[in-house]
Formats: sequence, structure tokens, C-alpha cells
Amino acid sequence: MADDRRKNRIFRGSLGLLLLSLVLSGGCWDRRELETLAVVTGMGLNYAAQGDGYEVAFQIVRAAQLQSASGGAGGGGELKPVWILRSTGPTVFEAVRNATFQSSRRLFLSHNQVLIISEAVAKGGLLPALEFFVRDHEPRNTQWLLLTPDEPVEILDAAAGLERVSALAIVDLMKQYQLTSKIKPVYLADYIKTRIEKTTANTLPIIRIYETAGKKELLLDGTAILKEDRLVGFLDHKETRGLLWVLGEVRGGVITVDLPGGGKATFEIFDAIPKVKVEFKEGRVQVKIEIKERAGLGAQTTYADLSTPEQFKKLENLQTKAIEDEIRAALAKAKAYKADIFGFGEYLYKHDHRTWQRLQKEWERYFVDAQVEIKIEAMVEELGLVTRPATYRELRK
Amino acid sequence: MFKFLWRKLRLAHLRKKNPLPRMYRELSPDLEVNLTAIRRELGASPDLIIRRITVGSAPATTGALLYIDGLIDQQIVHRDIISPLLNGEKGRKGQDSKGLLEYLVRQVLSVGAVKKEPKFEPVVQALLEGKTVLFLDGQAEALLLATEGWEKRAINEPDAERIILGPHEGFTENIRINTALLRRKITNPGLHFEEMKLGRRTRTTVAIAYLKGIVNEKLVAEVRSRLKRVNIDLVLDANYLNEFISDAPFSIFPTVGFTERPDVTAAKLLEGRVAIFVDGTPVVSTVPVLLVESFQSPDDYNFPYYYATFIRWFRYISFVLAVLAPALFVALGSYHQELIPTPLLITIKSATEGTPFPLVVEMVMMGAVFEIIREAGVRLARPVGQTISIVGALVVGEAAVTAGLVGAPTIIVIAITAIATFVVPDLLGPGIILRLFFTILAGVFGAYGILIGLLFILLHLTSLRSFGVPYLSPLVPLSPGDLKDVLIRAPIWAMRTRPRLIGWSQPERQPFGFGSSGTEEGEEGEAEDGG
Amino acid sequence: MDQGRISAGQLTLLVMSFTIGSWIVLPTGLQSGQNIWLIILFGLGGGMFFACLGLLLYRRFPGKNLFEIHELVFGPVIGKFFSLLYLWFFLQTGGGTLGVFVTMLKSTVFTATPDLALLVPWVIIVIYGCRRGIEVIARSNQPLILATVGLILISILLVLNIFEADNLLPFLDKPFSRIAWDALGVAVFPFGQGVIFMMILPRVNRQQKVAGAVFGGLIGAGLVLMIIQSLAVGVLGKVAEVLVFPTYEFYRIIDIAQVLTRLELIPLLNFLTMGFIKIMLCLYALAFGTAQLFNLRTYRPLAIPIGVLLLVVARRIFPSVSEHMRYFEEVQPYYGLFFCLVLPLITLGTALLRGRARREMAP
Repeated sequence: MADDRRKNRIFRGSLGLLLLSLVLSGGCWDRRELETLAVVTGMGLNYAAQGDGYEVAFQIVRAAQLQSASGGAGGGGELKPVWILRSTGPTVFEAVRNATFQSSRRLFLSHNQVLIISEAVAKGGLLPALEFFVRDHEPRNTQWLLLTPDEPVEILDAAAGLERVSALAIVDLMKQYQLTSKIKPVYLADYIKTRIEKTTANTLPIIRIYETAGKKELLLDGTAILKEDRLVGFLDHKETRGLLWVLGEVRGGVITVDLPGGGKATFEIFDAIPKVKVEFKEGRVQVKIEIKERAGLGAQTTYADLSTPEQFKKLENLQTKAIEDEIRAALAKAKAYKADIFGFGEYLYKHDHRTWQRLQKEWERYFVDAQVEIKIEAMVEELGLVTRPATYRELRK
Repeated sequence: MFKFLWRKLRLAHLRKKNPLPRMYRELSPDLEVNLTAIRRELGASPDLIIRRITVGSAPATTGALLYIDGLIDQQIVHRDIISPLLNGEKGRKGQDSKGLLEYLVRQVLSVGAVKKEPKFEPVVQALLEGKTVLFLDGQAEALLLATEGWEKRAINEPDAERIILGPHEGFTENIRINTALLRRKITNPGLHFEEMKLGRRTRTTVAIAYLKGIVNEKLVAEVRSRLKRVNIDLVLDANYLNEFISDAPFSIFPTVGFTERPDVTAAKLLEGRVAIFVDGTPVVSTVPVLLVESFQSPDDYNFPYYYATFIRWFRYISFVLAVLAPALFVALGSYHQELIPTPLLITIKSATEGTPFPLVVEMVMMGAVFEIIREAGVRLARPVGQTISIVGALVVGEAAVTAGLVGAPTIIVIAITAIATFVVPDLLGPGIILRLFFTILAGVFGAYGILIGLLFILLHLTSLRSFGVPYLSPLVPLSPGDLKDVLIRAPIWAMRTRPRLIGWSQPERQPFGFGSSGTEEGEEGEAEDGG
Repeated sequence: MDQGRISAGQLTLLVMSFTIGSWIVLPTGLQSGQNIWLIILFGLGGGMFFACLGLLLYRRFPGKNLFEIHELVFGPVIGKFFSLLYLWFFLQTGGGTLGVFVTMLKSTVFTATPDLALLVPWVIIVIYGCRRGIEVIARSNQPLILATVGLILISILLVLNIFEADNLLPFLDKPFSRIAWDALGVAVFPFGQGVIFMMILPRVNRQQKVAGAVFGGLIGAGLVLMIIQSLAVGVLGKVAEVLVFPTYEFYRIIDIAQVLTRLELIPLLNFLTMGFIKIMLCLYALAFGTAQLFNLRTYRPLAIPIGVLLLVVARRIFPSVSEHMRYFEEVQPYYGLFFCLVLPLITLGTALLRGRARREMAP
């Protein structure tokens, strides 16, 4: 027994030595110190100007600049808080590695926030360009994808209003989409997830540059439709919200209606819960969309008192019409492009996969032919802080 | 491996026989022979006082009183020994010296404990313990008179175990006072002490204390036998023995508990544990000890249970922070930057821009600096110690950051860690060692290294035992009933049972509920139903 | 030999960890996408059947482990041969698990670190734990499995905002034969590998509770796997089919208010601990079995060479991920069936025949 114990000690001692030698001999293979990293916050994808291949643009944060500026010290000769870099290569991966010809530090992609894709790439098929970002372990699937008609580099280099790094500004733009619900933000993960579905068409938000007071600013401008990985068309803001109503992604925003007696009223949307049902009946795809929406009165441009229950009823009807209008507009666009951005086909697959098996080959045809029934239940629940405009009203007896 | 060497050495040592020549010889009837022998044994120590006296009248018998100055209570010796001997009745006539001795014990000496001793060695020992020795010429026996009395420290609150509320007394260096303090807490005939002398040269008194009826007898026997096996030269503190009797002498975790507080000791005895008192130190060891005990403070039981639970969780969190915070920071900062939220990453990056060393080196370096400052603060006189801490912490830290040697986040992490370490004072040593261990592992393998370290520590802890009780219990192996004093600090009235693996011979403390002597019968019944 | 005793509850938890093991990170049968839960359910059924077989065998020889049973049934020579076969199975199970983890670590976090650097410390602590005996293995498993189950329960809350129950539809859109094949794969790996517990059953202190403990463990593991894979499919949708490590990927996209985000390393390391227990059990069974085969006094010294052997096997057994996946897709079901169905059936049959013969001779 004691012998056994002694051996135990010897064993433990040798274990310790082994570990120690392991620690001392080399080690630290994957170590990368923070100060040796170039943190990439935004990337742009475009085709290379010459030859086939990609041009990748990087937006790299100069952390020290960012901090010092916010502290207000701001010595002379200040550098921009971001550094823009471009490199080309036959694949995106190689282009990323080629960037190290110019960068003294290793490009670190894990904190990349946005991927700006040029229209050309979107037209030529997106997945081959995005593939690297899904396969490699560094980039995350929670990067925002945006399409731009301009050069991606310009977006990355643009001044970003209150923020100092345009990529971070874009992230905030995406995050507050529910203030209008007229943009559909798309994660890389979302794109891949929709892409793997057979019948659903993808959408991407569009960002572009506009010049104001001689400065380049960013602007979100509608939504692009990608069918089978390729850009086919666009939705404007109104149509985008039409799409979001159906997808259940309207989480806020405002809706304005014309009042019958002239003037307008704007409502703040609280929430909207859709119920979609897709069936195949009588040789046609029948879609039933039911939406329950709740809103509050936000502004009006008349002197009328809209606070009575009768008026509410009218307002609700007006809203119903407005929402249906938006959905119809989106639907018309989608049908025109023969792109099932709503995922009706996927719904059918999930709930009636046998029928879907029959239809999926010619889904385009069935989609265009689909009969869509829309039922909207709008509720106006709140008035804000006043009942009616502050006008004098006779007491009625 | 080390243990193997150690065993070898010890065996060789034992073979050399007992190096101290011990003379258990008889006392001589001749007074002068005895006195010479004692002088030779003790040397020419000036504190040995030999007071010659003459006792009895008819045949006046010469004798001598011996004591060590400083170890005895002068007043007792003067009032109760010398004065009666010189002034009292000179004894009846015709008594031989043997009769005289008996007579002195029975009628003259007004000292409490008196013992006759025929052997030489115990006499010397008694002298060294503060007894007064009376030799009579023609008598081969000496009288040992209990006159111990020396300067003692007052009963203070122990510095290492401060509490806010509750009893503020702590043990002192005197074992008698300590046992008395314990008796004051537990007025129960079941409180037994067993004394023995340990330390071949120091002959230190060591006492085992336990509550008969609650303690598991096998545990007492085990403690006794382990203490008996201790073969040591000197015992100056409880730790001298702890390192001998501990189950895992090479583990960094303490498998023998220690405290300086009588209330803690009393509570532990009532849970079925055994306490070991060592004369000359205020530290009392308790066995068996569990890891979770290190996280319990007497204050937990002196404050309301909800607050105590809350604070206890902070202690757990603090310890985890103290051990893992630098390692996690190194792992995140040097390996897993993708796991830091982007804004935070940019902030940290801007703060560490341009620092020349890898994060792990920074961390170990600053950790070492902190340990140096701490050690200096402890060793130095208190006012200077504080200056050192301030100079060290502020100046060194600030200057290192300004000079760009280390990043400010490193300093913040080290500072938080340093403070967190002191929240669990029992595990100060293990905490510091583990911190270094994990930091280096994190520097080599990142989070994977931390995982490996954690698994290793887990395996080590699950295989540890303290006097037969698994060290991690009641967590592993899980005994859900005992979590009442681990995950939470249950209200006192709900802590109905003693720890399962320790106090199993008498598991129940009290019936469940609020039932006290003051409540009415009906209420009591209801409370019991609730259980 | 090891004198340690474990409780029935600890056995349950051990069975759970062992079964969760490496499968949780590199699941097979994900081709069935949204029906993965059904496949796990069927697989669990199959696993329970294998467990029944083993327990029947154990009931005939209570207190004996698999190798002792072999010798009792077939005599020393054939018995030892059978035991050797199982040693190979254990070796391959342990080495495979080790291989999976290195693959995973290498393709997710530690891309530049050489295999050996990742393997050596891992194997060292596995050996360290193994030498401590079954008691320590079972005890250290307790907090680990609790942490895993806790984490998975917390994950349910974490994914509430991105989980789409619709992703688990349609129910059964693939031919049933395909489902059955995938289910067989799951039944064999991970559930069937539990045959290794035949080496540990005699260590349980309350023998009458053994069967309940094993079934409890299998069902618990089945539930855990079902929850985690359903969550992954519910979050990732069909993408789960193309991902190598779906569970890891699904933790990567969790994002709650920018605070609880980028959490993937926690589950990754947590699942590693499950594999840690699995490898430790394999090594224990290997060392213990080998010691028994050669009538050694103690298994402890064997842990080191066999641990090193595991390391070697782990590096050789699957040269590439694609081969690994192909193996589990096409070969493993047959191969595993041999060990968790065919061999036990033969042993049980022989034991029954011999038992009957003995009974006929006895009166």
C-alpha cells in the first residue's frame, strides 16, 4: 500500500514536470495580443476591377484615436479614427490575406459588424462571396448585410453623422429599424438561413451615399430583392413595410392616413401580429393573411376632435386600408419579380410538405398565381397626452 | 516524490535512537544530592531560585524550596508556602521526616494542588511548568506545589477573524484560559478534554476537546492516534501539528481547520467535530474541515438569515473572482478577443496600445508586485505598513500605466482581485497559488487552459478527504439536506440537523420550527406540522 | 484493484454524461434536420433495448463485470478473446471522443495550436482522474453534469427571442427508411456505447437499483440531447444540416440586448467536460479490463501507457473531418451493432444454454 502511494507521488511529480515543460517549451500558439491586432469593423465586397476575383475593402478602427478624441485632448496631427484598406484576390479569403501586404497588424475579423456588398456582386451571385464568412471561424454570423449601388469603400469611408466609425453607425441604424419598420435588417445568418430554403427569395437593405452641405452622409434607401442568390429588383420603403407586416417584423413605426374631411392623421404602431395561412385549393395557392395591429394617435393636421369612439372606428378603418395597401404593393412587386420574399412556399413546405413536393418545381408560377386574402384588424388604443386639438368648443346641452 | 525522500529521512532519523539522555531515576534521600542534580540539569540559570528552610522543631529538618522566577505567582509562594512553613506550628515531636511530609501536606501548606513525586525527571518538568518543589532532607520524595502564575495577554478580539456583531473575545496563548473560554460557551458535562504532551523538547501541552454524545468516537480515536504518532521536536503553534496530522500534506487546501474564536470552536464541537488546543498559541485546530467552512463567517449566524445568505454568495463570487479574474482577462485579452463585446474591445485596446509585454506577463508581474506590497505591509509596523500600501498601490500602479509599461485594465483587474482575495481569509494561500496557476495556464492555452486547470482542481478536490470526510461535501457527494448552510444560510430554527457526514451519531439538533419554552402548546404543534 | 463504490444516483449521472459525451457537439443524423428529436427518441429506444440486453446478462451474473462474465460463460480462452474485442471497442470509443474534441477545438478556437499541445494536457488530467478510481470519477462528474444540464436549461431562455418553432416542421418529410437508419446510428452512437458500463456496474453500492439507474441515465441524456438539438434546429433552421458543429454555431448567434452575446465558448468548454468524463470512463474501463485480463493486482500503472495509446489512437483514427463524418454516417451503425447487440446476444444465449444444461444436470 505504502509502495503504491509512493508511486503515486512519483507519478504526480512527473506529471507536474511534464506540464511545466509543456508550458516552457514554446506554447502560446494561438496567442495574439490585443496590440498586434487590427480590429476590422466593416468590410466591403466588390468584384476586382481587373481580372476575375474580388476586391475587399476593410474599415479598421484606430482605437487610440477613438478614445483620445472622446476625451477631448485632441493633440495636433490627428489621424482619422478609421483606416480604410483595399485588397484584391481570386477568392475573398485570399483577398483578406493579401491585405496583410499593407497592414502591419493582423486583420481581425471577429468584430466585423457590417458587410457592404456592391450591386455587381449581388447580380453575379452572392453566396460564393459570402461563403468565406460562414466557413471561417473568425467572422461571425451576426454581421449585417447591406447592398449599395455605390462603391462599398465609399460607404466605409463616409462620415457617419454623430458616430466616428461608419460601420458602428450602420449597426445602430439597423438596430433602430423599428422606429419606422421600413427597413428589413438582415444578418448574415438570416441570409444563409433563407438561402438554403428552396423557394424563398432573399432581401437585403440598401445603403447609399448622399451629399449634403458638401459632406458625404449615409442613407438607408429601400430593400433589394435577391432571387436565387441574384439581385432582381427593389422595394421602396412603403413596400418594405408591406413585407414586414406579413413577416411579423413590424415592431413600431408610424402610419399616416388621409382623413375624409381633409387633413392627415399619423398613428404610432405599437405592435402587429400576423397570422399567415397558405393552402393549395382548386389548383391555386390560397394565402390568408390576418393581422392584428394596435396603434395610438400620434399627430393630426386638422382641428377636428378625433377622440370619440365613433371617430376611432373610422380611424381604424382608415388604418386597415392603409396597411392593406402597403401589403398589396409589396405583393404586387414580388409577383412582378416572381420572387417569393414572403416565404409562402416555405410555409406550405412546413405545414403540408406533400403538396409542396408537387408544387415546388413550378413554384414561381403558383406564386404569381396565388390568391391572397388580407384581413386586418386595426385598433387605436391611445390618444397621447391630449384629447383634441386645443381649440375652443361650445358646450352642447 | 518529496514524500518519499521525507520518509527516508525520517526513518534514518529514528534509527539513530533517542538523542536526549533521559534519566528517570529516583530521587535521593540526601537533600544536597538532589539540589546538585537539579543545578546540573538546569545549568546556572539565574531564574532558578533555591530557598533553604528549616522545618519542624524536635529534630529540625532542613529542606529547600525551588521554583523558577517568573513562572510562579510570588504571592502564592510567600503567603501560602513560605509563610506557613516558617511561622506555623513547627510540627509535633518525634516525627520522622516521612511523617513530617504528610503533615505538611495535610495541615500546613495552603496550596490547591499538591503532589508527591519520587522520581527526578518529573520534578524537573514540574519546575519548568511553574510548580514549586519542596525537598526535605532524608526524604526520597519531593512535593510539587501548584503555584503557576505568569504574565498573560488579555483576551482580545482576534485580528484575523474580525466580526461586526457578536462575541468579540478570542483565545489567548494560555491553554487553561482557552479551555475555560470554551467551557464558558458550553456548560455541558459532555465537553471532554484529553491532554497530552507533544514535542520532545518543548513538552507542549496539547488538548483534544470534543462533546461526548455528539462526536463520533471513531473520529476521536483517529485524532488521538494521529497526534500520538507525531514525533516532533518543538510545537510552537497549531500548524506544527496540523502539517503532521493532515490527510493530504501536499495539497494546497487546508484539510485541518483553524480558528482563534471560542464561539466558532463551540459551534464546530456542536456539529460533532473535534478541536485541538495547543498551549502557547491562540489558534485552535478543528477537524474534520470542509471546503465550504472557509466561506462561513461567525457573522453569518449573528445577522438575519437573508442578509447572511446574500453576503455569503458575495464571498463565493469574490473567491471565484480572486482566483479566476486575471486568468479570464488574460484568456479573453490574448486568445478570445472575439468574445469581448465590440465597444469594450475598442476601449481595452486603446488602453493597452503600445504596452511592450504580453498580457500574461503583465498580469503575473503586477500580481507579484502586489504580493510584495502586501507582504511588506503585513511585516512592517502598522503606520509604516499603511504608507507602503499607499505608495505601492498608487504610485507604482499609476506610474506603470503612465509609462506605458502595463495597460490600465491590467491594474484594474489586479486591484479587484487583490481586494477579493481578502474576503475569504481562510483560503488566502490557496487563492494566491491558484491565481498564479490559472493565470499561467490561461497564458498558454487561453480558456482551454483554464478548463484544464478547473478539471484538475476538481479532480484533486473530489479526491481529498479530511479525517475521512470528503472535502467537497456536502456539494460532492451531494447531500441536499446540508445545503441549508452552503447555498443559503437557513434560519437558525430551520437548521435542524448537524452536517450529515460529521454529526451522524446524533443528527438532530432541535425539533423543527419556532417552538420555544415560551410559546403555547398549540403553536408548537403547528410549527412541527410545518416540518 | 479499485475498491471504490459509487451510488446508484452517481451511476445515473455517469450514464448521462457518457451518453451526452461528444455527440452533443458533433451529432450524427443531422441530415434529418427538423426531425432530429424524433431520431433521438428512436435512438433512445434502441439504446434502452441494448441496455436491457446488458442488464439481463448482468442479472444472471450479479456482481461480475463484463470480462468476468465472459470468462464464466466461455471459459478463459474464448472469454479473453471476447474481452479483447471489447478492449478494442473501448479504445476506439475513447480515442474517437478525444479525436472529436481536438477536431472541434482546432476548427473553432485554436486553429494554430498543434494537436499534440491540445491533447497532452487533456490526456494527463484524464490519466490523473483515472488513477484516482471510479469514486473520484463519479464524484467529479456530479458538478460537471449539473452545470451542463443547468446551462442547457438556461439556453432555453437565451434563445427565446430567436427560436422559431416552425423550423421543427415539417414532421417526417423524408422516407421512413432514412429516419430509421439515422435512428439506428444514434442508437449505436452514443446510446449503445454505454455497453462500457458493464465494466462498472459491480461498483454500485445498491445493486437492486442498477437497472433503474441505467435507464434513468439514458432517458436523462436523451432528453438533454433532444432539447439542445431541437433548440439548435429551431434557431438555425435548415442551416443546421450544413454545419459541422451546429450546437456551437447556434450559441454564436445568441444575442440578448448586446449583453448576453458572444457566449459560444462557455457551452463549448462545458460540452468538453462531458467528453472528459467519457474519455476518463473509457480509459478506466480499458485499464481496469486490461489489468483483469492479465490478472494484475492493480490497474493504476496501466493508466499511463494506455492513456498515451488513446492519444495516439485519437490522432490516427480520423485523419480528416470528412472521413469522420462519413464513418459515422455509413460504417458506425454496423460496427457498433456488433458490440452492443451481436456480442451481448451471443454471450446471453450461451449463458442461457449453459445454464439450462447445468440445471438439467443438477437435479
